[in-house]
Amino acid sequence: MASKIIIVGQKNHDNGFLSQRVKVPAICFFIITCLALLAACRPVLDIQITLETDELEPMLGKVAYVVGGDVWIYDLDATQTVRLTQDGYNSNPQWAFDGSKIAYRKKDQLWVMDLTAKQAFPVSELPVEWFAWSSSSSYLIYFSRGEGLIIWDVTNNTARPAIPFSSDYSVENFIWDSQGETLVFNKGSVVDGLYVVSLEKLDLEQKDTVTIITTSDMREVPLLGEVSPGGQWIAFWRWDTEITFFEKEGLPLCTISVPGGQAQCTASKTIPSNEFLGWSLNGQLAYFTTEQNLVVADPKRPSEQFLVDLAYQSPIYPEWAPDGERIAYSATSVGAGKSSDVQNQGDVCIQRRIWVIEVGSKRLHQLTNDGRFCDELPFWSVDGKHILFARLDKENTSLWFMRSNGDGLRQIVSELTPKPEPLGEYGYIDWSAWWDWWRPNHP
Amino acid sequence: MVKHIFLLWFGLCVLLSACMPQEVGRETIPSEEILFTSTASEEKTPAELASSTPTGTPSGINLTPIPTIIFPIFVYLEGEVLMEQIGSNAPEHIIDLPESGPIKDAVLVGETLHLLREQGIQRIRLSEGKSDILLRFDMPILEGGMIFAADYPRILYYATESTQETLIGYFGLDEDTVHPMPSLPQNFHILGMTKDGQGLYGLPIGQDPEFGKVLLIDLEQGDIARELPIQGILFAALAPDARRLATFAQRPDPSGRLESVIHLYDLPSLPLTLPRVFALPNAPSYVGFGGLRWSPDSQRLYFMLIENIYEASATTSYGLWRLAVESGATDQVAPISDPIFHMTSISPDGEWIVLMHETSDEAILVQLQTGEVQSFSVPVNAIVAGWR
Repeated sequence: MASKIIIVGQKNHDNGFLSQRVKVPAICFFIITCLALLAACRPVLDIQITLETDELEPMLGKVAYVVGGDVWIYDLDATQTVRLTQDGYNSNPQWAFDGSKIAYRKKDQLWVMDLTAKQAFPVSELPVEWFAWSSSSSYLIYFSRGEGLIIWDVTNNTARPAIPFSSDYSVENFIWDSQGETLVFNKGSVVDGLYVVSLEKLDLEQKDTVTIITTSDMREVPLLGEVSPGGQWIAFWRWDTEITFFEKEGLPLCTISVPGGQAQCTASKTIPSNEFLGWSLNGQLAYFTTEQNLVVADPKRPSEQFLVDLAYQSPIYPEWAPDGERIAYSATSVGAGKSSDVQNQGDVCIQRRIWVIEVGSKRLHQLTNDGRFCDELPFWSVDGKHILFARLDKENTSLWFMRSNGDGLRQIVSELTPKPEPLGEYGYIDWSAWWDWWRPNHP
Repeated sequence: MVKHIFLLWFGLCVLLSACMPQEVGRETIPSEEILFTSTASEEKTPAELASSTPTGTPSGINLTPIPTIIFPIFVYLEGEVLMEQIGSNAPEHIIDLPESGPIKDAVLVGETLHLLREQGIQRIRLSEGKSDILLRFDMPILEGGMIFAADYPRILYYATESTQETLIGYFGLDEDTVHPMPSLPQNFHILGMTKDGQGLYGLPIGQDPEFGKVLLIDLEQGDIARELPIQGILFAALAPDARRLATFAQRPDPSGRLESVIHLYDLPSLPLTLPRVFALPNAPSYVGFGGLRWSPDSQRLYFMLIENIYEASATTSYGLWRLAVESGATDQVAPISDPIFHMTSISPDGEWIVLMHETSDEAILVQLQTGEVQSFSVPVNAIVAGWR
């Protein structure tokens, strides 16, 4: 018993001795441990800090949208609304990269609104089918059947033909990469009595076109899809033209590098519309197959990564987060039934919701779930912390904004009119006619 | 001297006979002989005609058989009577049709006649003399047409109850079922079926003779899926291969004047492909009445070539012409001098074409290989049913 006491006393004595001898190293050890714990918890803390302070986050940007056939702007940072046009004939607003101008259609004509000078002026009086801004925002490129492909210099209001109108060839499907650097298009011509279709790249510096791929085999026609940000890769569909309704049957999706070379094509089929695929900033391609699987492909390493089976969920609009780790998309709820059933129940639109999938873990997050609405076309803010999307209901079409975890949902635009057809064409709507989001410093 | 002249003359005769083309005899057979042969033996079908031998030839004399021309049997409706025509013989009555209202179009498939009537679609089995109604329209139609799509096999129909809407659908011959579709809010004519059988091509019809699109109609969805950009004036014809669409069009020539051309589209690959363009011969010239007609193998286009379509009754005819679409070569098939003859039908074997006059009861049958022409009489308002 005594010895026991001695031992205990010894121990107590030792503790007291240690606290004096190694006090400084122990404190250091404690601090280091705390720092390590902090470092390990950093992502969690980041999110918590973000959620608490994001109301103060500047530069979410501005949304240009169409109400009653007029273009309006909603400033997400200042929460202010400005009306730009008055005559009710306008659509397809498109921001210049620097946010200083908006190009839009007035009936079939192309107009530009200079927001700094507060002036609007026509660019082309002929019907314009397609237009896009350069990355410098200093010129606008557009295509008109009467003029061809025209480069319009904003600074001195002059136009020059990039591809003049000619009866020797036809041009279709213009795609400029999201950074406004690389313009590709389909070209049709007749060579030695054969119908020929090619993918061409326009070199604005050389004022010349470069053929990426060409064929006279009408079972392997390249139907242009999307260009990767930066313009290194082109996604296109290989179209056997004997498949008439490819919107229903789907086509193999292929990628090819912009200088040209061997195309890589998927075994699965995809509906040939840009609403079903999306490039990440680091050059990964996400797409929905006709079996409604979400798949990610890397053209540098010909492989496909299956992410999730979304059968009967009518998924659409895959949109990569800027970090390349998450994909937002629009789809019906699991078990909601086939899209035709969902349409009948809703009676106005396909009952889609906004979802986010974490690419690494394949974890799914349903961000919206309001039975009154059909949710479409999610877009990420530049910092990846917010999502802007469109909603349809029986009466209205509107724009909504929320945090990337679904919190803080709020309506920012109450009406987009004239209202789009709720079921669109083959179930999807060309939303570019109604709105565009200028995101400062969007890569 | 005389001997030498005789030898020279004899040698020349031998040489001439050696150089005589073997086909000359065939090409110069008087049509009356053939008709006499055909009439005398009372033959009805091409097969029987082919196996017949000429009559009235003295027995015991071994003559080289005279090749016979096998005329196809052209079938048309004269009011409510179905008639057939062989060569330039007198037309023969086939059957009296039941009176069931005005007939807009007719298609003969084998021994079954399909009638597009104001009230619906009627089927008549010629061998049995029986008829039945395949489809009744809710309202009487103003006009319409039918096309036999042999590869599927289906009879496509289109009809308008008003100038604003078009009823379309098809009768599946194998399944013996009519598939009517909801009316579409445009006035158009069906050109034919897509290669995969899932859609129809339609040509919008309006006041303007120019057209700029072809409608692609989804048979499953029952609506217009796409509008394909084309250019044309008055005439468009879809080839039997369901790929090539020929239109008559005009383009400015280097001097700025309009030049008549034929546009040849690869329809399934539109809008990505450009049409092939063929200038018409004998410029300035136009495609005449009846427009463009395809050979059954989709290799040749036939058309009447005239000097001015806007004054067609007073213009000059350059005759019946042919365009070989692979080579782009054009040639005259037959010198038909009257500019208001129009093509109505090509025989299924692609050997014959019938042209009818716009204002009188005249018709001509043209052998497309030789250009030989037979004249016969057909009422100006006859409805062509097809060939037997």
